[in-house]
Amino acid sequence: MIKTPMTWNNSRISKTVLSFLIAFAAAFLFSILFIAALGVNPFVAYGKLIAGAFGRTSSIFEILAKATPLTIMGLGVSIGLRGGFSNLGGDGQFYVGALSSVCIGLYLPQTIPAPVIWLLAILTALVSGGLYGGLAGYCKTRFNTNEVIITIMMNYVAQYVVSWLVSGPLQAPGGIPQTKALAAAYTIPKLLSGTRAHWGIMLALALVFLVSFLFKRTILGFRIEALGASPAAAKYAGINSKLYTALILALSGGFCGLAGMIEVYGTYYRVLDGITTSFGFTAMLIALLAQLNPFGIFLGSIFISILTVGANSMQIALNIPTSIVNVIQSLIIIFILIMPSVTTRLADRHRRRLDGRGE
Amino acid sequence: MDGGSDSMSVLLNATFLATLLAAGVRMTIPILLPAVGEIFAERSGILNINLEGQMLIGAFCSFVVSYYTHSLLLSLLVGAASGVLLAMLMAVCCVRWHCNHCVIGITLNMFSLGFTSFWYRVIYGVTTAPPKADVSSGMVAIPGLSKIPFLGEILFQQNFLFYLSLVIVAVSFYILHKTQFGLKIRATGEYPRAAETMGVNVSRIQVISMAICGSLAGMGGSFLSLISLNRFVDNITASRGFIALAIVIFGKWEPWKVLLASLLFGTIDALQLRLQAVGVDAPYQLLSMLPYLLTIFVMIFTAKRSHSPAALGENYEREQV
Repeated sequence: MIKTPMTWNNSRISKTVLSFLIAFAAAFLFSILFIAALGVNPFVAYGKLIAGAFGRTSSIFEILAKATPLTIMGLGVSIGLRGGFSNLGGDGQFYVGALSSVCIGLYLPQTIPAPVIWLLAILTALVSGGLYGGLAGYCKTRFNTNEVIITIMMNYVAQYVVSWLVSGPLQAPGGIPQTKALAAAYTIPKLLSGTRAHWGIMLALALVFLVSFLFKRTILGFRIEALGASPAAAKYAGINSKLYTALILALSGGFCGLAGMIEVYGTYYRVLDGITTSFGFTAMLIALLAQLNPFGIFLGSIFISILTVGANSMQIALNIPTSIVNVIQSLIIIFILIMPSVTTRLADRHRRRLDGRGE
Repeated sequence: MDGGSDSMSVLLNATFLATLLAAGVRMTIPILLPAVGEIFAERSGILNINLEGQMLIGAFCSFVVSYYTHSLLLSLLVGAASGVLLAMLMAVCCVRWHCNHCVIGITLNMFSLGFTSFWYRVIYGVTTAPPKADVSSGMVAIPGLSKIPFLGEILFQQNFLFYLSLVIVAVSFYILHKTQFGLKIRATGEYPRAAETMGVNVSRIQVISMAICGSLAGMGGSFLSLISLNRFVDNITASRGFIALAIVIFGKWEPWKVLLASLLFGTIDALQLRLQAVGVDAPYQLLSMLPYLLTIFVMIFTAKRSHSPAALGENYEREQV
């Protein structure tokens, strides 16, 4: 899939930083063209974006709140990519995890202390999201199906099933398609009352370290990367590729399910129709942006959240649609993707020119 | 229970069946055109995951043109051209810059989604009455044949794009299997090094195949915004591009089989819409899910027995002298 660096030396890091800077600059230049085409001064627009993102305490906490599920899903997607699989089913797994975990909080006896409920909900979300993702992995090994198509189709299945459940069997009284709300005691406390960020971000950070540890220090992580680097070689090395395919997608799906649980217990307190808006695709872009580095995924989630929060106030103030965020982030990644090939070609050309001069 | 038996009797009604199948044939168009395009891309070795994005761009650009010119033909052409443009971007990234097909395709899909909803909102704003694509419906009744009872209504009172799609399927079959160009495409997708040894310009074949794919995907998308819905909405394609990808596998990269598979999917799509309209005793969500569920099952039952082009999704590096 993507060639992941096993080691980072100084020249690699400086090259990466350089190509990132170029990619960001190029993408922002393009978006400036977009904004200028609307007859808005791009500097005013980006001023609004930055003011909107950092202007108030609440907006800064809003960034953290948005980054929490994105980080967890980005980590999940990155596990898949390291193993060589594009898990685009993040949204479906998110729905499954959100719905199954909300049932834990809603339908178990309300006398159970909150930490126990949280633990059970986390486990449920991990298992249900993992099963949903693992099912795609199983289909891949058993029936040779393309995981991209299957996971995208499974998104729709999950989305429609949840939509049906929250407007039918599990609907709260009141006519709005949503489940009942969790008891206040079961919600994850806010970092600062009156803002939207919650302690779930600590779990996201812990997972960043966990995934980093997984790929740096454990056999499991090594095997996942080996399978991603070369399925044939991994097979010769005695790695059960069928088992690991299912396992990788199950792990990936488990993380996405967990993101659903965190979002429900930390932000919405219930499951409603359309609770995720293409988080799965955004998480994919973040994982690519971070070149699958776990810490990079956290930073990338913060970055995308800054753009999203800032773009909201840019839309309100200057009538610039928020979808510009999608354009910017995909442009950055396109530039990052073509950068290595462009630089090698330029270097080649340079060398050939030198050769031509007989040096 | 009464509701159930009522709707059953409606279902078995011949008029209902004819309208259903006619609608099914109509819904085939936006899946069939991109799927046939994808055959060209994949046969030349490029896994064009960006199909969805090319449809979306086509749907958007043709809608904008139709809004200002009211010309169906011009809108379709622009829709196809915009699909080609995006396909060229994808082709350059794969052929020249050697990006991972899947990754760049996904990224470009996201780009198309952002691009189209951005400009739609810029041009038309947020209104309670969304603008309509005011073009002729393109319905053509074939003289004589359309008078045949039952079959006439289903097959011969159709949108002209359906007849065009049939022609495209036939031409595609001819090109792929009876011409030298088609042989070059297939050779490129199976074994690019051997093809190049025989004097085939691999990159050029791949770029041309992608252009064909982009134009058909753009046209398929245009059908959705111009004729099917008569307007543009965000993400109007709703993963039809991915269903088309699955259909190519189901149809084993053969235009005729892809046509049959598309007819099946079109009919299922029409069926779930009709059932919702009739008001069957089932939640609408479970009906809307049908095309996606069908895709999953079809993939499960056919993926193992279908053999993709050997070099599909691999980047070809020319040997350096």
